[in-house]
Amino acid sequence: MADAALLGREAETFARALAGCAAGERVRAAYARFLAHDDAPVTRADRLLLAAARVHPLCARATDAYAARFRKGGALRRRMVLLLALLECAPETYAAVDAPRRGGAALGLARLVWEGTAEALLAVAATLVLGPLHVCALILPEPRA
Amino acid sequence: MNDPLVVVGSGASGLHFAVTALEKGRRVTLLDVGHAREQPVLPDADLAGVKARHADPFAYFLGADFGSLILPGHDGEYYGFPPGKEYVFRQTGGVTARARGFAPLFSFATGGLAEAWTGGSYTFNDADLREFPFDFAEFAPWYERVARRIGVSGTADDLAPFLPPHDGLQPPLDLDGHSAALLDAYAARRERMNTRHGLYLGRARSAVLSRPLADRPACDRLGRCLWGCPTDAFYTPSVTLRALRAHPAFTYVPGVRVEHFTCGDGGRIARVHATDIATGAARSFETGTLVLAAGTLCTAKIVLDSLRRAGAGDVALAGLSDNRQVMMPFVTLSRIGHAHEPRSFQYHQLALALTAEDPFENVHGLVTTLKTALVHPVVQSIPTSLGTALRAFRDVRAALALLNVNFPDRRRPGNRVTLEADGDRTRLVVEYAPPPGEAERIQATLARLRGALRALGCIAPRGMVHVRPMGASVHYTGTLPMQATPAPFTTDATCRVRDFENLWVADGSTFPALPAKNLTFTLMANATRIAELCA
Ligand SMILES: Cc1cc2nc3c(=O)[nH]c(=O)nc-3n(C[C@H](O)[C@H](O)[C@H](O)COP(=O)(O)OP(=O)(O)OC[C@H]3O[C@@H](n4cnc5c(N)ncnc54)[C@H](O)[C@@H]3O)c2cc1C
Ligand code: SF4
Repeated sequence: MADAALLGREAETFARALAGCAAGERVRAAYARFLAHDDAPVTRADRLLLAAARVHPLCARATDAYAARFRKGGALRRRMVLLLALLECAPETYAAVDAPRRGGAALGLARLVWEGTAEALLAVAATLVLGPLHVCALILPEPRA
Repeated sequence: MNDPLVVVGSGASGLHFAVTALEKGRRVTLLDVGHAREQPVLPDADLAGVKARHADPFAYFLGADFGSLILPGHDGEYYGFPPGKEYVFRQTGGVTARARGFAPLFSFATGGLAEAWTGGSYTFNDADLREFPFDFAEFAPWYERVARRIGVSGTADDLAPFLPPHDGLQPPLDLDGHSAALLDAYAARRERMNTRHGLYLGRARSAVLSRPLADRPACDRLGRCLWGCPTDAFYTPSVTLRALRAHPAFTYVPGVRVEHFTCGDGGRIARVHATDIATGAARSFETGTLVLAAGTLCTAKIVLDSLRRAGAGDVALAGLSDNRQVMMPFVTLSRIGHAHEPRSFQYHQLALALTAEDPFENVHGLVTTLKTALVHPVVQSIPTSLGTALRAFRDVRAALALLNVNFPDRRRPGNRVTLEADGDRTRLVVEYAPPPGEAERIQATLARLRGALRALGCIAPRGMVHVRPMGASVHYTGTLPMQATPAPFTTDATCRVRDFENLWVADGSTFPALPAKNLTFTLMANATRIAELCA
């Protein structure tokens, strides 16, 4: 089980990647509280993706773009979804998730095209870097506990 | 009649029977398991206000044990059940079921399942009522009476032939922007939608107040409906129970689970036997008129247990019916980039009908535009990184909607409820098989709906359609049907069980057919009708 300080840093990095905001004390504490009792398995492939995602918010985004395709039910996605759920409920952060977007259909569509392009580039880069490492993590035997 | 009148169950059915019997001057004792809801928090706050001011927002929205958190790998529903309503499905010892082809749901809550309903208040038309012992004209006054009691908002529009209007409706709520855009798109193509697609769109009838009623205010658009309306502008049966508890001739007995009834010397039911849930002690209540309204499955269990104890052997109650429901999310392209409206009524504001050759087979759907639901269950289903998905979601949020489609069902002999031994108790056995050709019919209907939505400028991605398991709609009916021809385990036109002189059933058990419509408004109206006739 990861220590609280590491989980706190992880929550901050993921919050920036997800919603561009700080997670804050309350969300960090709830994040650690949930994970302390979460018995979902964390494999070596999961640990690899978590380590890559913790480096920087941009790495978190790219690793998640990779996980969305190749490790959908894994620990990284699980933690990201947990964090999103906490961010959308907490007084300090809910607005970053909930605030209505404005600008009408044209601007909305333009933003969607931009997001789609950025996502595709990130996903390609992440696949080139993480793909081979992920395959190694899958085929090499797990070290004994 | 002044014999003791005992009603079992405080759901929509039992309470509307009880209130009518009291109006007729009867004394009523209502027995109930009765898990109670908590007091509403921050009643003046909108949803953002709850997030900003609640002492423990995670417990309020996700549950103290995170039970409403939806993580990857969930079962395909698009929202987590709100923690504040978990009591609605909390089980009680002593009622267990084994099911095949059916996922049975029970409620032992004060107010029953409709404490968690979404308020869709359909009327049945003559085609829907074909197998009932009355037609719409005869039944309309009961709809009117319930509408005035609970407050139903709606209007007569293109859906009027399918949802015949009646007196006592409140005007509809103002439409949210997305629903208004859909209705405008439909109005601009009405002719083509009706003739080419067989689709009719209009205002849903909802159990929500657009005008104050008694001590309840009109809907203030707090956007908290899913978590429980804190002002009771949205009707739930506990509103009626609260009023009844002040009535001197009404006795509410929560905390008891009714097990069976026994007959006296003359063959009439004389006593109702129950278990005190807190102590496990046996209790019994004298009755002169017994009214079962425990929900179709629990009512079946009480009847079957009573028959078994009376030595009737293994009896099957056949004809269990339920609406198959399909969830069809869609995007309205013209709404992309618009701001969503957090301060609006959260549930459906539009309803649609898709016609079939036999009008009983018409399919009905409710359109819920997305406003204040939790974001994480939806965002994770978008196949990109969550950050991208969230930003995209914020742009399309005001364009997202869910069409909840109901399919009709008919009584079939193989779909039945029986009992089996479970130690020294009994267990319900529920068996259900869908009608032949159901899967093809669903696919053909969804293709028609997808085409109609396209004509309205909407896209319904195929991969996101969710066919709910049988039992999920909790529109259970058909096990003690009203029918003209006397037969064992059927009811007469007053819903009296033919096998007992003084037993009435006030819930869905007595419906001889189930159109593709939410049934609770009709349950309440029918309970009112039979109380007027028998109490
Ligand atoms: C999420 C959701 C949304 C819904 N939306 C709609 C909608 O929009 N429109 C609509 O028409 N319908 C809707 N429904 C269906 C609707 O809630 C039910 O049809 C309706 O509540 C059934 O009412 P009832 O009184 O017949 O039975 P129930 O609600 O099942 O009530 C049964 C009562 O009996 C009591 N009871 C049970 N067994 C015993 C026992 N052995 N001893 C003592 N007491 C007992 C329980 O405590 C309870 O009070 C919805 C349901 C759900 C879950
Ligand atoms: S929007 Fe919903 S929660 Fe708010 S007042 Fe209206 S019915 Fe109640």
